[in-house]
Amino acid sequence: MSKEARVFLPQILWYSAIWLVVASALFLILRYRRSTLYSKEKYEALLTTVSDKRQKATDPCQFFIAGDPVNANGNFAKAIFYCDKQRKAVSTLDLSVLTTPDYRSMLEEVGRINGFSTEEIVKDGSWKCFDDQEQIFNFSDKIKLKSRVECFFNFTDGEIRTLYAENN
Amino acid sequence: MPKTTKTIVSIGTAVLISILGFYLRYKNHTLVPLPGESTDEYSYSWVGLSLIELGLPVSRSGLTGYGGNDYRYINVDRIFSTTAGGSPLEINQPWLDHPPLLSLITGGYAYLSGARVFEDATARVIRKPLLLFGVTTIILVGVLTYQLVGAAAALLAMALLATSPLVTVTSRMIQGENGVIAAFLASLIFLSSYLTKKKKIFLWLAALAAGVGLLFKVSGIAVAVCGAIILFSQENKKMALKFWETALFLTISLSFLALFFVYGAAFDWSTFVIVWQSNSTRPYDIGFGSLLDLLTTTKITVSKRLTEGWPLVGWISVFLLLAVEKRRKLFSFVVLPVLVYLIIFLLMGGSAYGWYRLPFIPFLFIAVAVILTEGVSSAEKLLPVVLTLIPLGMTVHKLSEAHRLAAIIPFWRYGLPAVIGWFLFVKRIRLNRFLYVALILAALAANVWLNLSLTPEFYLKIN
Repeated sequence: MSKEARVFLPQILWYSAIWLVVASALFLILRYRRSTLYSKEKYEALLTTVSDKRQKATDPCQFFIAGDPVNANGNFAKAIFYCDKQRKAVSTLDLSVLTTPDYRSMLEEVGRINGFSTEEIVKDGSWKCFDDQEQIFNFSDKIKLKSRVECFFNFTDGEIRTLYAENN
Repeated sequence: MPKTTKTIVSIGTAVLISILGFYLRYKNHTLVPLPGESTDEYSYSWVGLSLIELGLPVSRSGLTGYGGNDYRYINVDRIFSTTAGGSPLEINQPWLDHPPLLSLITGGYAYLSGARVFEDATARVIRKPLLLFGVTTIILVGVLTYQLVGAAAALLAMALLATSPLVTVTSRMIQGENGVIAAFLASLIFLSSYLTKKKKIFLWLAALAAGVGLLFKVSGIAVAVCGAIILFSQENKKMALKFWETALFLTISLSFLALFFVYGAAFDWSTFVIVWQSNSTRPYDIGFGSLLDLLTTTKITVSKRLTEGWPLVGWISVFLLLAVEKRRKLFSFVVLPVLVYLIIFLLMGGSAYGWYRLPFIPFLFIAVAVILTEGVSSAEKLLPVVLTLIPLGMTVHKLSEAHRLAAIIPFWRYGLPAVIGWFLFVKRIRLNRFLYVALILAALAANVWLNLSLTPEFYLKIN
């Protein structure tokens, strides 16, 4: 064995032995942490909990989802909120993010994303919602693909009809 | 000037440059680049956060290898109202796109700052550690350049890195390359120390730094390859010694890559292999188009550019060093890293992404600093003057988009040939030296001014 080999080989072997111990420990620790920490509920909470630090929206028209879900392949719906006669917000939602594809889930998800509560939209009577100009009475109904869900705040039926007539 | 005074002045200037570099990086760091412009930034941090909270790396990927995606709208920094587009993020678990060191740093910092859910990991929080990376890189560039050529070039290289608008913006981004740069420079500094001082501790430190580079991103393999080439191509050393030095260096540095394999195996070996294959089937990027793009454009993301002349001058300087430089050390520690990373860059098909180019920058700027510093003592200054005028002109052009500079444009237009003509025909050594240094300082001042002008609104406007 050369002089250089006598100097360097033991160092390499020692290092390799220490590495083996560290790598084994890392493997076991990662496996153990995963088995003790992971749960589906914690995973959901990590992804979906709205941050306390995020500014809450004053109404559903303050924020919106900009752009369209280009990879949704038709599996999307638009949520349009008319907060008064002047202000509206349009959001397009990829419906694949919903576990239950109904109107309530869709509006709640848009509310969660944009930071407003949908309580008064789906329960209270102050909002009226329509899907492709047909009023939604049961928010548990399955949502149609490419729907245009429009919710109006403090609009009379006449005002809504006028608006639809103008838009057509 | 006595040597001690010179040293104190040099260190003082280096400290001031580092402070300036930190300030320029800190100003508007939460807004520029725009949050969500690259969702990779959140992706890295979410991996760290989920490793801490769930014991499993969870994040967005988009690589085809994962098979199924869990589509989610995670509206951190309200990116879905601004930059993210309308599609939900593709969440994958276990996320094994990259080694986890940067994720643990930014995600860990976010956790210590009170972040408990993905939406808490805002740009304001997760970009903070990168500010320190940025300043560390400035210092490391100074140390390496000092080892190679001396204090003046070191200070100039530091000043270029501290003030380049492209670098200040990109160094805020949570991208593995920003970690790779620091590891690359540290490894080369230790290697340079090992070659001059012959103390084995430096060889170990160089190898460990190269290994850490691999924990930031697999493209950090360039650090290990570069170090191995430097060690194996030493002159006046026995072949056996070179072989064993290289073997030790590679064993230590590559063992960190092996740790990434262990990490992948601990979560899901089959996913790890598929993701690895997915990453390695990117198009091989060599060709005139991608090389020209690399030399002539300065990107931040895929589509966003921030045109700047210093990288172009850097490439010219590297070619100059390659063509005329006889000093072996400069070749090994400046040109070779560029060439090795260029091969990795092309193999990875990285030309589309701005951040893949970041590891070139410190070496390009060291090359510029060497050429420009040599210009100070050289009687013939035309080449370094032209090399200074290129970035100065490009920066002034950018500044004219932000400020009303109509009054100075004629001076610039007629001043440019006048300056070149002056250095071509007038041979007054002291005056020319003064003018040349003033020109370099003006170029650095223009850099600082452009940095200070980079508000989110102006950033959106320019390219």
